Amino acid sequence: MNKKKKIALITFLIIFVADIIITGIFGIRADMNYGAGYTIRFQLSNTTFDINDIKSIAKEVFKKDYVVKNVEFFNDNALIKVKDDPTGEQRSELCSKLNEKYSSSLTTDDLQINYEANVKFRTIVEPYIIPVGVSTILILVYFAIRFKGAKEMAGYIKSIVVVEVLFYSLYAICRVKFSQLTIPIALSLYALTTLIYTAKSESLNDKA
Amino acid sequence: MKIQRKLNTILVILLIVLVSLISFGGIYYKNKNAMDNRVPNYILGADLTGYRRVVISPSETTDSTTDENSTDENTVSSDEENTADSQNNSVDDGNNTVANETETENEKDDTKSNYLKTAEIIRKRLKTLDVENFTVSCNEDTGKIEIDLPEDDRTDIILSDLTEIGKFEITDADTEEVLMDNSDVRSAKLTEETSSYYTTEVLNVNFNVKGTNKFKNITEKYQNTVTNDTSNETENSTDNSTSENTEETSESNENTTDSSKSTSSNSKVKISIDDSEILSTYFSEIVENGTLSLNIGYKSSMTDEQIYSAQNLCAIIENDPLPIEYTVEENAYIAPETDENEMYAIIYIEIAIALALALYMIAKYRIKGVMQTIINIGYVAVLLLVIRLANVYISTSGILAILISYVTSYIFGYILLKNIYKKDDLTKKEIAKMLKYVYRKYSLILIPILIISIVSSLTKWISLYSFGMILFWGIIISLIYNILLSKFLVKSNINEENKV
Repeated sequence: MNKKKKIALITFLIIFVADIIITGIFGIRADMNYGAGYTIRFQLSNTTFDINDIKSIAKEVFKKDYVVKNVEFFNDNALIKVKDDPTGEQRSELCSKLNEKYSSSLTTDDLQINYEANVKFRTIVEPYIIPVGVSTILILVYFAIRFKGAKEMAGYIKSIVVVEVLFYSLYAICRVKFSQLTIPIALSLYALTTLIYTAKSESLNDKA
Repeated sequence: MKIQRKLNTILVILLIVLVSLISFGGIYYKNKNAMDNRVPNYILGADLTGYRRVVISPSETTDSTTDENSTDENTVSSDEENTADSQNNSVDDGNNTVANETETENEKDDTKSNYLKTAEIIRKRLKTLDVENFTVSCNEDTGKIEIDLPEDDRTDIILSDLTEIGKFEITDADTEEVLMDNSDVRSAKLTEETSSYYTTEVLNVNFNVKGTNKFKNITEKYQNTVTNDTSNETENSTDNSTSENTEETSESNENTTDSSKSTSSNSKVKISIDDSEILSTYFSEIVENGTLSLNIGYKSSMTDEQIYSAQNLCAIIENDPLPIEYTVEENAYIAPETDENEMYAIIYIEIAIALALALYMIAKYRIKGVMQTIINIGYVAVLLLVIRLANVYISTSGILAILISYVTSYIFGYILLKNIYKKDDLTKKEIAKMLKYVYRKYSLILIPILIISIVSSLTKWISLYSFGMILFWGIIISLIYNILLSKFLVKSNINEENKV
């Protein structure tokens, strides 16, 4: 093993261990769709709204860590999810801003506020485990037949692990929020790594 | 000959432009004073179209006994009132009060785990029902469970039974002794049985090893011999191969019970869910394969809703009963989670990556690089058309699969150009040999990713399914499209004087 490879391996191991430790201590940061928070649901009577206006109002009232969603199809019912329990001041500010904008008579009592627990990480990842596992095993079998040896198989596993661990470290070490896009991106990286690794292996096989 | 070659190239480019215009723009025609697009729309998955949010909470009756961990003030005060009441009521019977309090304390400890267990059972039921893209989250303190489901024809029917306790029992009809319950069930499946005249929907309850032995003993113990006097009953008996419509059987059994008491009083079992009787019957033969078959009805006479309800029943029987009674508190459609801006961000990033790859190819292979880039744009256009015509669901993963498909097509172009670049004096034979090599190499490169696409498209999880289907179509189209168009690209490399 040359010096460059040693450095790369040590760096990777440090990142890997750091991922585990940080996840163990702090967990993964989830965005408002997956994380725990408080939902504020309200209905405006005799008027409809543009969801972008509600988003602007939510931004003014809650500043950060909020998500706005339309409820039902009539544009008169919305849901704002915030990280912390909305204070009395925030509740009344929200009502007054909505009343001002839509000439409604919303009071803080009309706001339905509920605590919403976080979605378990396992629930999100579970459906992907078996298909990805089966695909990986079948690909390894293919590599074993195509390249007649374990070298390509080991290289493939190494590539997948390195790419996915580095991707995971974005969420564990860099504290990027886990969102709706995380799993699709991880899946795409898995497929892309497979594609590029196979192309590279075929190219090396030609040279050999 | 050179002019002919140029004309062919122009024709191919025009064809690609036309397909791209149709795919990216559409074909519009006037229909009742409005312009309609003839190209079908994209079918979006649940993460892009919205979903159903259901919040269920422990019912009030359960709250008073089990929801002790709640920090809610109301709950605490009601607990105190309950305790006070019980103290007043138990003046005459101190021992009972102590026993009740101990029991309540035990229930307190179990409450949290019961909430979590309920959430887990609901998760399992949804999984059994093959519901895609659902999430279940549980508030351990209040017991509230939020469930997000995709919005489709089944959603309301699934929700109608989701909070059922689901206590499946086979009991002795006379003594009410529980002979079997959910813990004996391995799976419950709705299957179709076809005879020469009709197809029936059959609910097959498959028992686990322990359950199979129990069921065998039950069918042995509750087996009645067929006699002339009890022919009606024999017709209505439930066995492994033939069983009658559940409702009909119940009714008929009631009738026959009156007419031939001597037989029915012997040995009958009652099959019930949540103490509601489904069927009371006996067995005409010993069942050793551990399957209880219940006929649901004739397929031709059943509506989709009835079939969905029967599937709900399967999910209830297959999984454990809920430890706590729950009621639906909120049920509403929620707009998509993935923000529109997020979606555009993904698309723009994809375009940027594709552009960077194209620029690299152009910089490296000049005019041939430009041609290959045009071919790749045409490839994306064809792929987007096929996705719509094949009614493939598009989810966030699916959008990313389009980029991977583009990369597969790009790799083909890269291998091809690598082999023909600056080789302008090749003979036809050499070109054919080289093309054969490129096709073979490219096909081998695609095999692993084809495996991923096939395995993913076999799942029912919409995000993964969409990813797999788009990738699958991407690979197939990439093969056909590139093989067809690569010939135009390499024709300019043929040395006319050296044609062989």
